[in-house]
Amino acid sequence: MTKKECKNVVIVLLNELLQDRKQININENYKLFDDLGMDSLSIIGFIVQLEDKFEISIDDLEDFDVFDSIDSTVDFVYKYLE
Amino acid sequence: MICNELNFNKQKYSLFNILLIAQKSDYYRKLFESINLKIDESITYNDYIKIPFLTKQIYNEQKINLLTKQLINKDEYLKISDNLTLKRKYLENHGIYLKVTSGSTGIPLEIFKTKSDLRREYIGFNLARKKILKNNFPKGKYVWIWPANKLIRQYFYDKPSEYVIEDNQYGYKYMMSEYSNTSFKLLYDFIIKKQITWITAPPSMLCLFSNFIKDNNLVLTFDYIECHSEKLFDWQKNELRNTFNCIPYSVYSSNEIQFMGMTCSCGHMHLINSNVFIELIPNENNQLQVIATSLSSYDTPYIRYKLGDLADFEDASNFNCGISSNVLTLKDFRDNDYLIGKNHIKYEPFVIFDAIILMQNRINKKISNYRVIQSSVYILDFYFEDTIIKSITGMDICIFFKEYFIKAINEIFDINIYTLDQLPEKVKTKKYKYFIGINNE
Repeated sequence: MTKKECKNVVIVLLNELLQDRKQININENYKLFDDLGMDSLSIIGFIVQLEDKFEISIDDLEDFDVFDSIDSTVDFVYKYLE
Repeated sequence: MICNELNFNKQKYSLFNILLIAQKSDYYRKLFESINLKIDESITYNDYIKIPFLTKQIYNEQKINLLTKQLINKDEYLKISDNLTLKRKYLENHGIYLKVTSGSTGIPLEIFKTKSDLRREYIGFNLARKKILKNNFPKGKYVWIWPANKLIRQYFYDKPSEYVIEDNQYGYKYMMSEYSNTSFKLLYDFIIKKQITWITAPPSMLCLFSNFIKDNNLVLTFDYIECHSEKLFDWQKNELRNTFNCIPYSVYSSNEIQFMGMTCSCGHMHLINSNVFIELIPNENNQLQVIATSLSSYDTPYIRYKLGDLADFEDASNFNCGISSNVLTLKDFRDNDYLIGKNHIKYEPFVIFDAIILMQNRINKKISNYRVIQSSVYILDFYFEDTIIKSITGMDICIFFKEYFIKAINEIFDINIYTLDQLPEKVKTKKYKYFIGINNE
């Protein structure tokens, strides 16, 4: 999977996750907390989706700001895939 | 078993990250310079332990200098720092919550907590919940029991009649300070009405609630119970499991560092590695004291923070729970006594602390050390520093506290005032005592 494909999957997941709450089409420029209104519980739902989709396991974080933006999320997930 | 260096190496990247962030604060920049500590990826545990402990006293004096971002103007802040109301509003306008701790070690603290740090701490905690609870991560609405009486509700929320706050889309904060049949009936009705499926509360409160459920032949079950703020004793665990048909989990947390550990279903307290690095360092009595470094508090870093708890590590590989993080056995942790009112109504000791906050605001002077003992059902003995007692001459402190308790909890107490050096010897040796509960006398 290329990084671009990874980003597309992340955006699709976020759109699905937040479809009830946000009538917007999420794109790569959105910030998860500031723009999409995610919180510490919804981010866990998102992490579970990432784990299922990419078949990875995210148990601990070494840097808490990896989920700040879509780009940083993609960088974080892509490291698992490499 | 002490394995500080081994754990340091396992969590090295997170520690390196937090040290880099801490270096942005005035306090840590100067401290690292003074001990000639260079922060780079080759840092070792021997380098790390050059950093002196952050004590509660240092935190109290240095908290503005601990901020890693220019969130407030120091001069503006110092002008209003003696007035809790103004200070709280000023800080909130600048993205900082002011948390006031109860002073379980006798030193009440005012803590800065930014919204971003809270979010990071909760993400780490929820990841730990996901890991430990596996597929049993609670769904449905929760209620979080928060000890706060009507005066403090008015003080902080300007809405004293509201004791329930919708925390977010997932649940509610429910404020309680009195544990009686009436207050438990209200809580029970609330839980049924809102279809609450999980509850988070101090275990001593939950056990009183359990007694109420049994005494009134009611049935109430939860999908998940999470105990916080105090040690969960085995007898409490059994009591809660039998009444609510659910195994209670326990969280090790503090107001400063927040979530540090969580029990698995076997009852082992696993450290939350995303949130904290824990060292165990022998004290003067050769007991192992908990020294915590927050890995999720970026805006106000806590590096080698002396919590005041005692503990030991156990090797997680000895257990069958399948969770790899270290297991901490707490040797000395907070437990709870209640203030006893007429008709045996029990009140959270926070009701006393709330009185201290209001008194502090009234005299415009910080009360940094105090003890309160309930010496009999209708008598409270307050112990203050000599300087505080001198500063309140002219004001009848006994009447102030008397009126406070009537307004706050509708109870009449006789109040005695003493200096801290008059404190009875047996109280001095206790780590966590607002007062001696009458059952302990």
